Amino acid sequence: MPIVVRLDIELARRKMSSKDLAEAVGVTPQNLSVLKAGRARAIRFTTLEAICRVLDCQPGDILAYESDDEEAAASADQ
Amino acid sequence: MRRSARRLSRGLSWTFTAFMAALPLLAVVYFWNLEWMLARKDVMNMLPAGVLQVLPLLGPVTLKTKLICLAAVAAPTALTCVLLRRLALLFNGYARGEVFTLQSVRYIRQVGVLLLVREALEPFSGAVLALGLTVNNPPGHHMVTLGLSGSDLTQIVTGLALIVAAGVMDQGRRLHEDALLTI
Repeated sequence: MPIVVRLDIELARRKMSSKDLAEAVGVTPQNLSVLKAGRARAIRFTTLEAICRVLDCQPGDILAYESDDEEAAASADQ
Repeated sequence: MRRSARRLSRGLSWTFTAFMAALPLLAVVYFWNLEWMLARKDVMNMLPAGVLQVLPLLGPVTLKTKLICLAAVAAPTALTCVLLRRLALLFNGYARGEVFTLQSVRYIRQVGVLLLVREALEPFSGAVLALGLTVNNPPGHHMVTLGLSGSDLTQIVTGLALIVAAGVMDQGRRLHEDALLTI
């Protein structure tokens, strides 16, 4: 999917665990794991708002658009 | 899913499994005791409508008659057993709370298709059954009947309705999946 979730990076920057974030945002750790793994089909504005509030960041810090070509190139580099 | 619905689904699953196991045995018992069955009007009415027309011309019942009749009903009986197995599996899934799953959608669609296939076979099975019942008649008195009854049409409509319902369930499954993956 071209929408990439960069929650891991933001969590690492703040040295915060996924479990703490899930608790602060009010979602289950399983759902947060689905979001982090990029398996989510949609994200509610309320969830996005809560994540941004807890991590003190912008939606653009968490979500990014990468076209399929870029994604393929990135995985080839790795 | 409510507990009572789950319990009911489990009961239905067991019922369908029991019917599936009993059906081939019932068919064998029915045709093995054909003379006795034909003497009883209430049991005789279990035969397809088209076949009932040949009963006044019925010849002596021999082992050959019984074997031909059993062979005639073998395919529809086997299809019915598969259909009952699918229903048992479907309701077993419901009992476990699996409603909007790809597997349950598949089972509903398969039940619809099996109903249609069985109804497509039914006239041919009836024809062979009629031939079997008149096989011992003198030459020129053998009969083959081909026909569709009102209940056959009902089964065809039910089969088509189930296939459409499976499509609707699939749509429901997708919405359910979307809801689960919306964070």
